[in-house]
Amino acid sequence: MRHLILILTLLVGSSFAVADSGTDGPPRSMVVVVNSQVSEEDISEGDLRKILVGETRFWQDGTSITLLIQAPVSWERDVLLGKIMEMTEAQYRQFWISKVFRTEVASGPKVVLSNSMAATLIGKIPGCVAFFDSDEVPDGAKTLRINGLTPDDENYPLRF
Amino acid sequence: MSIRAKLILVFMLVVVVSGTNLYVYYWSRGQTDDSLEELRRATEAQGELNLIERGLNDLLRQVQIQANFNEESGSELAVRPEQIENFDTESEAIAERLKTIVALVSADNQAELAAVTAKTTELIKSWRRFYLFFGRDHVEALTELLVNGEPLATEVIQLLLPDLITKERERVAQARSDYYTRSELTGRITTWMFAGSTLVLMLAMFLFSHDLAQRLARLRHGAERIGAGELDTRLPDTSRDELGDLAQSFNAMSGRLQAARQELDEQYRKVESEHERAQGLLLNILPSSTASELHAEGKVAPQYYPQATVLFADIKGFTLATEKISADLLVQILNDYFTAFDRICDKYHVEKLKTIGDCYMAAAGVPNRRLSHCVDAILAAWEFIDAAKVLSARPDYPDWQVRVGIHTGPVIAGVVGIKKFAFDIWGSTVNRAARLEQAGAAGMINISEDARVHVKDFFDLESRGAILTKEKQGVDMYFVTGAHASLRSSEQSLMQSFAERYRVYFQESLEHLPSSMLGQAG
Repeated sequence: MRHLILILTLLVGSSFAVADSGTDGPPRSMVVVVNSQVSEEDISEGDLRKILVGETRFWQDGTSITLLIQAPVSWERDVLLGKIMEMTEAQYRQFWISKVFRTEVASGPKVVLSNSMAATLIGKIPGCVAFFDSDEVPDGAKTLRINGLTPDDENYPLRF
Repeated sequence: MSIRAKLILVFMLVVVVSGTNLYVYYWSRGQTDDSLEELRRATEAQGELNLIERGLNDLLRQVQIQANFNEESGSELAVRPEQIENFDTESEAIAERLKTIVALVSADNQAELAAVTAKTTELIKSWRRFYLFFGRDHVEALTELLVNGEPLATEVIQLLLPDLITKERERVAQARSDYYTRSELTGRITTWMFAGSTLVLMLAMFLFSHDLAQRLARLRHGAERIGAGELDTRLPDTSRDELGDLAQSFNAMSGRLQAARQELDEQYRKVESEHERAQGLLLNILPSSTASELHAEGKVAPQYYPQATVLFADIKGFTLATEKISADLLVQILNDYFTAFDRICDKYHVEKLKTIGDCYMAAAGVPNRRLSHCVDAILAAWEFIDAAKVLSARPDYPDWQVRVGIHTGPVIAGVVGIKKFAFDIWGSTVNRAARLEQAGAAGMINISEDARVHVKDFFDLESRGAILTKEKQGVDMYFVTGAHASLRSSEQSLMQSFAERYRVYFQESLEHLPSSMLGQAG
């Protein structure tokens, strides 16, 4: 019962958040933040999608990619699933569970409960990558350009 | 070598061959058992490694699911105790398997196993720390997982363990191949060994039995030949075994038998000689058929002959000669006469019966019945007279002439007494023949009327009329003057015509005629 109430709360909250993010307020930009040891400075939308679906598992220097995704009802997760991966929560869970059980990947995306947790892990773990609202990027974090563009550029692709 | 020693040798050979086969069998089984044990251990090790791999993958999935999708696990939602308990159970099982497998993994792979064990131990510790921190210090939990757990999991599950499994799989394949190779090799060796042993034993048994059978066959054959009377049979077996001894005994026996047989033959020849001599003596006094009957039956039954011819020949002048000639010379001359008569009797199937002084008594038709008995007696008498003429012509021999009397009639013949057997005849015919001789003339054959009836177609006869005998009875008597005129006047020779008539009348062949009678021909 406790789980049911929690799931319902999350679902309702999530729907409000999506509705809120997609329709109301000024557009927000999402940036890709990586551990400072990652050599890349720029990434294409296609490569980013491959990282999100586990097709690309290593950076160019051979470092293993560790993907951090915020827990449900966060804006970043909603944007990643709804706008970039175009999956629902259920589809996303099913997609990764299948990969793990088929042993297609050794490690799936790790859930972080808050941006601060994500920021901490980004600083600790080499090859770690996470997604933040451009206004909440932790200090000193390394952000990657998308298609050579920064959030300040007009055609930045991760602006929603 | 004795047969017993040969049998013991063959038995020892069987024992040695059987022992060798047994040794090869156990050696082969040991070889295959070793390889089978290696295969079992390799297979078991592979199975254990697969279970370890599966267990680690299960734990990895649990950790992944926990780390990736447990979005509900906030700071207030730690890992449930049963999850920890389940993890501990499974990780302990893996650790236990890792301990067990040390005894199963090959020596070559022990280093890899040690690395797997060490890394797995670290991995399990990392995962456990992840569980302990999860929900309490999520950052620490994920840091532990990402910094230690996942690299260890990648190293153990994707590198070390698969490498060890591959090596153990190769070991299984090698052990299987080795097992099959050894099985095939040992099977082949066992089969060839068995076949070779069988061949050796068969050869040994064949040689032994063949030798034994051949020598026994030679013995049997030798015994058969001895049984068939070939006493000079000797066996060539000179071997120094029981059969050789038997062969030597056989040869000694056959030698003794041969010597005994030779001695027996010698005795038999002597007996035979004595028998022949006795038989000759017996035949000298008895007709052959009578002698045979006496020999076979021990006695001679008297026989009645309705028709037989009795001949008496007396030497005229003998009594007078006894006064002038010495006794020994007289006996010698008389022996010459009677010897000549004996030969003549044989020639004409006439049986000499006895001599009484200078009188020679014979009979025809006894004991062998012949229809020609009367003709035979006259032909013999005719040649008696011829022989007497020849003998009397010899120098210093007296001028003896023969007077013959012949009568035909019934007689009884037989042998009487148990000593000095003599074949004799009885009856009035004998007396009548004696009277005819007494009433005859020197150099003449005087026959009775009964005799005339039988010979009238063969001889010319001169009737003398009725002559008074000693009993004062008048008896018709005839002198035989020669062959019948009809026989002498034919175109054929006398011998041919006489023989032809003789054959027609008596169904017998005639081989001789007295030479003086033949001189009358034409």
